[in-house]
Amino acid sequence: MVIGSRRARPDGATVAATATAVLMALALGMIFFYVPTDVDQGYSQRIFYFHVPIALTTYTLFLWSALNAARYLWRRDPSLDLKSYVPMHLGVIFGSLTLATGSLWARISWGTWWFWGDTQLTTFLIIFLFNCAYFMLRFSVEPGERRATYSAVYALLGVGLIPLSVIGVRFAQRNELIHPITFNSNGANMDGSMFLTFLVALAAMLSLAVTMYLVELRGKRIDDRIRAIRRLAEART
Amino acid sequence: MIDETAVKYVAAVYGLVWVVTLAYIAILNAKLGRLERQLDEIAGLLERGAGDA
Amino acid sequence: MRAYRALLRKDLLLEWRGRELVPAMLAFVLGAMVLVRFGLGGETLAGGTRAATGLLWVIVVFTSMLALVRSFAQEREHGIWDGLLSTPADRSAIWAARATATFLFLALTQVVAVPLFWLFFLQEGRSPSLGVLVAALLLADLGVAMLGSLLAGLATHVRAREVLLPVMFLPFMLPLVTVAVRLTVDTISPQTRGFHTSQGLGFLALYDTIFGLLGWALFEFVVED
Repeated sequence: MVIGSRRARPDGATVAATATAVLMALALGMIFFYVPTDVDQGYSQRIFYFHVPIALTTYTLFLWSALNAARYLWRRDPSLDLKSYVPMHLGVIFGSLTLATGSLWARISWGTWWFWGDTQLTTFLIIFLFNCAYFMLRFSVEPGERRATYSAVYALLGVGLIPLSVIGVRFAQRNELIHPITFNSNGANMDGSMFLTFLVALAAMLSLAVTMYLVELRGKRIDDRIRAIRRLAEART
Repeated sequence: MIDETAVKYVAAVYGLVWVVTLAYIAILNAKLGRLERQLDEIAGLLERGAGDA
Repeated sequence: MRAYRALLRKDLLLEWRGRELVPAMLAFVLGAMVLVRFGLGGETLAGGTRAATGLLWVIVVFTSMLALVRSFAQEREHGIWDGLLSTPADRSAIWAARATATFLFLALTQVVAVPLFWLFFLQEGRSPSLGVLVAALLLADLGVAMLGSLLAGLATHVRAREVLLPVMFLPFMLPLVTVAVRLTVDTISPQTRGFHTSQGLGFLALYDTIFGLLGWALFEFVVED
């Protein structure tokens, strides 16, 4: 008999993984076979359907982490610390992927791998650096309530950072926006089929993030349970 | 006419997402291995305890 | 309020008697400027006064980080920290006092540094507007002091804190420096003078407000034990 076993029913991670598989297949099909080639940018415009959903997912993960950080400070529930840490961790992964895909897109569109004058790139870099600093903080403190508290405080400071970065960088650069603007105040600046493909790709990426989140949480919960069982076993022998 | 370098870059982005996903799976697999080893150790502890008792 | 004033007096008196922090900051600022000046030889910075102004802000940020690391280290060395925490004072008062003291030390350092900077780097060509520069420096100092006091509180209880504090601080400095540099550099050439100055200063004020509120609210979580 296993200590603390659960009833057998489809758990969150499995449901999410299935949804991701379906959405991802649909998205890839649409990106490569359905959506028309962009008139201005050519075939390489299709990178947009990867890059932007990944970037938006990164921001979402970040906000989710901050939300759980606030809830942790409010309720001191250790599971909330985990639920704040895991999205932040995934944020680094998706963030790196955003930078990498963005770099590739920049290379094929503008000829450079990076462009310091671009507001969105710089803003994203600032957030990414914040993400990395979060991890340095986390690894410098012993596990426990103090680490959880400090992580939560820093995560919440990061929430203040996002709008300030956006506004600040926009003020400082005031350059012609070379970063292709797809969404402006008039709504989506693109053809219906492109918008649909984008939405499906976005849903697929978010679903992927949710799956990874649930799987990681599950892994960490198992870690904790095994540690508890080990302690019991050591006590008995 | 579809530009060939453009296709290469799109393929690179597509491949990158694959690679990251597979790397993630590999890391999870390693974690499962670690957990399995811990379970083995615990089982060993319990068996020894049962042997003494 | 009374606690705040008492704590502030304590911080200022400590510095006045010990004189460790401000001289260290001054030495750093002077050393950095001399080093760059000599490193350039007789050349002006490529980009002239615009680049020089950017450089000034970089030096300001580094000095601030130095100030924060040192001031909290001092507290630990003298065992003041535990004494402070055992008082019934509102935790945020500790933060507010520390932020105010740091702000004053930064401003004091800059009173010396800015004329020196003008002497070293701004002799040729046009200079940025002094009024805007001073206003921007004061607002930036305030933001740095408030946020920095919170982060330094975090870092005190952590290993490798001298490395960690600058790392934690850097992402928050970036929007600040970006705007401050743009703001002050714009005042150099007559075409852009006055252009968006109020927006820039407004941004700095917004920065201060946000991190002031966050710092005040979050500090008690940092010092609980």
